[in-house]
Amino acid sequence: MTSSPPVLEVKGLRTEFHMGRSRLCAVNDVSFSIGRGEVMGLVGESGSGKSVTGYSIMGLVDPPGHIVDGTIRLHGKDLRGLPERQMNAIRGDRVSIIFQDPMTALHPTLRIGQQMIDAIRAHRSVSRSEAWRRSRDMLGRVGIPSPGERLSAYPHQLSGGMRQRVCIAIALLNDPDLIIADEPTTGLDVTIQAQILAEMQALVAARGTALIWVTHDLAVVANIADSVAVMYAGSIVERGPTDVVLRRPSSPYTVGLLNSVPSRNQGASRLSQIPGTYTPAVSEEAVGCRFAPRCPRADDACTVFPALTAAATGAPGHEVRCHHPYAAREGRLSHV
Amino acid sequence: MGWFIARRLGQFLLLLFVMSLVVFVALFALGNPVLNFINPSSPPDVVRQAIHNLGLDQPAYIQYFRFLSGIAHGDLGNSYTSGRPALRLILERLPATLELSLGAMLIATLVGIPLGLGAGYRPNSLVGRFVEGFSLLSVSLPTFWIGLMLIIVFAIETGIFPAGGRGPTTDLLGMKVSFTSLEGLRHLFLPALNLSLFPMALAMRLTRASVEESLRMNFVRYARAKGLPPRRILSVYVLKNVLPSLVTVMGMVLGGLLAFSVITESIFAWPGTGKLVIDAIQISDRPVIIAYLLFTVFIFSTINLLVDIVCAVLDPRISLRGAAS
Ligand SMILES: Nc1ncnc2c1ncn2[C@@H]1O[C@H](COP(=O)(O)OP(=O)(O)OP(=O)(O)O)[C@@H](O)[C@H]1O
Ligand SMILES: [Mg+2]
Repeated sequence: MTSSPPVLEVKGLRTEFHMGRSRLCAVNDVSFSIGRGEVMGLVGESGSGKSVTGYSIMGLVDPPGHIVDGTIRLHGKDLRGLPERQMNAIRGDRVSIIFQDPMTALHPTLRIGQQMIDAIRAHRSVSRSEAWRRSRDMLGRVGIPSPGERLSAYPHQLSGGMRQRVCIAIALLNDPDLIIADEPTTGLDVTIQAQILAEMQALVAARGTALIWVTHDLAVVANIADSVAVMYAGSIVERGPTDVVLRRPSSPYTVGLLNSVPSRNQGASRLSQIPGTYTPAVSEEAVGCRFAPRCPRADDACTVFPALTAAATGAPGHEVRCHHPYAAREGRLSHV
Repeated sequence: MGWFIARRLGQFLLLLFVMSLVVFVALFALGNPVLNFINPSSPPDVVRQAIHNLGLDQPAYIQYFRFLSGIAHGDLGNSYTSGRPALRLILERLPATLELSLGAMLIATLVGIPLGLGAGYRPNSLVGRFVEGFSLLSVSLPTFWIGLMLIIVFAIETGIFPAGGRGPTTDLLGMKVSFTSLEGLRHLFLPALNLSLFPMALAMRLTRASVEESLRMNFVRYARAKGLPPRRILSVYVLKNVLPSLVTVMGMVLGGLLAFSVITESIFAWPGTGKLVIDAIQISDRPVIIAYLLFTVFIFSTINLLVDIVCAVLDPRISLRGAAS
């Protein structure tokens, strides 16, 4: 579905945390690409490596974490190994991120306006009053009432939903090419979630911004995303166009996820009903398919870590990491 | 705000009362001070007359009551030796001590906070190692020894600075200050530097520790995600988070310097309150000691109040009403 060259192309990304003598592989061989104006849903259980993937793209993985392999190309330019200065020029300008926890992301003792103005003036040489004006307009655009007054408020004076909108506004300030939204609506009630989702969608559509929407919630993905990548234990186990992946899932894990969604209209649902316990990130040289211990189709072949291969649906870009994927019709779920 | 200050004032008066009682009882237990400063060979009736004149022949509770009613009139008694009001003596010496302590705090913060910031930001850098070494050294070497070394090196050997005493003073708002002239500053520098070493080490360590902690906070990562330059993150986002605790501790230290700069004042022959009280203790000049201790309570209470107000300004989440409890 992308004819233009990708905004972001991630290939073979591997991010590890080195703790003492042990190594924990939080992101393992993650590859995907997003074109202009495209929305990709990044789905997976807690601890599957979604946030670390986002931080890796932003160059915000702190020791003991390290990106040990892979390329992260923004408009064809590899961000890995870019000097910190140049990376800083890209962060918040060409790529911005909305943090998972908006309550702790904003500085508690700086006014909202100051934090927004800083974000603009780090990248644009505009006057304070001009930056202030832009900030106010952006707050208005994400649906914050009387934005002028909010600029002189401190974060603790705003509700959780408001703070979330402030973070969204900050992400949009410099008109980036890519926004990574890391579960920006968790902790908000369902109606506000839906509202923010719709606003966000309209805003990025109007500007042609590429969007990575990280979530637990398959219903949200179905609503917003053009493509979806399903992560399990640090790896993408299935990816492809949203309607294909959700209607004709190929990976047993995706099938399990879809079966665990109680009902299409029930909003947020934690994905926890797959039998077996989830082992999040994997200590270094664990072998074989990570999902095998919980998988109904696992056999001896699964002791070898599978590669990402084209799925049986034949849909463009539909790939699966499994030795025993469901065939095209087999995995189809009636209720999705 | 007004309510907060009124409540603080109440706490202060209570503290003052308790303190006066403790001090009075302790000094009373030390015995009759007259024998310390009167000629031991005086005839007994002269001694008795002197004791009577000072009211020391009265029962303890009457002495204490007279003392309290004196305080109520702003009278803390007269010095036994000079006969002058004790409070006056202290207030006369105060500018010298104030100048010395504030000078020391200025040096301590101007050097300590930036170095602490640098050390917290890059623990393995040169600055980080220096701070590590300096703070170790400053706790293991006693202040008086460093003071003597400073005098030997910078005064006696090289003669860059005078070895002691206070320089010429000028009148500023009715206080005699010496920092207004170059000569006065030269006299002030060494003792202020000496006195600054402890708070400087404290400021460094505290700043470094809070910076290291702040850097792990989500809002710092978010500031980096916005692409802010490291300098701005450190000097605004991190510093703003570090300052309240720093102000609190440094306020306490300033109180300590004002009240107990005794050693440094003695070494550098600095005519401040510390020297006054040492002299008073030596001859059991009871009113001066009591006045001094009560004055110390006053200083600490005032500084605490100021610290709370500054912290409330720095951190809008703190309400003074809550801080008062
Ligand atoms: N700073 C860190 N040090 C050590 N391990 C870490 C660190 N940050 C993340 N991890 C590990 O990396 C793995 C992936 O974490 P990540 O935060 O990406 O999960 P996630 O998919 O975002 O989960 P959630 O949905 O709960 O946000 C986890 O196992 C986590 O323990
Ligand atoms: Mg996460």
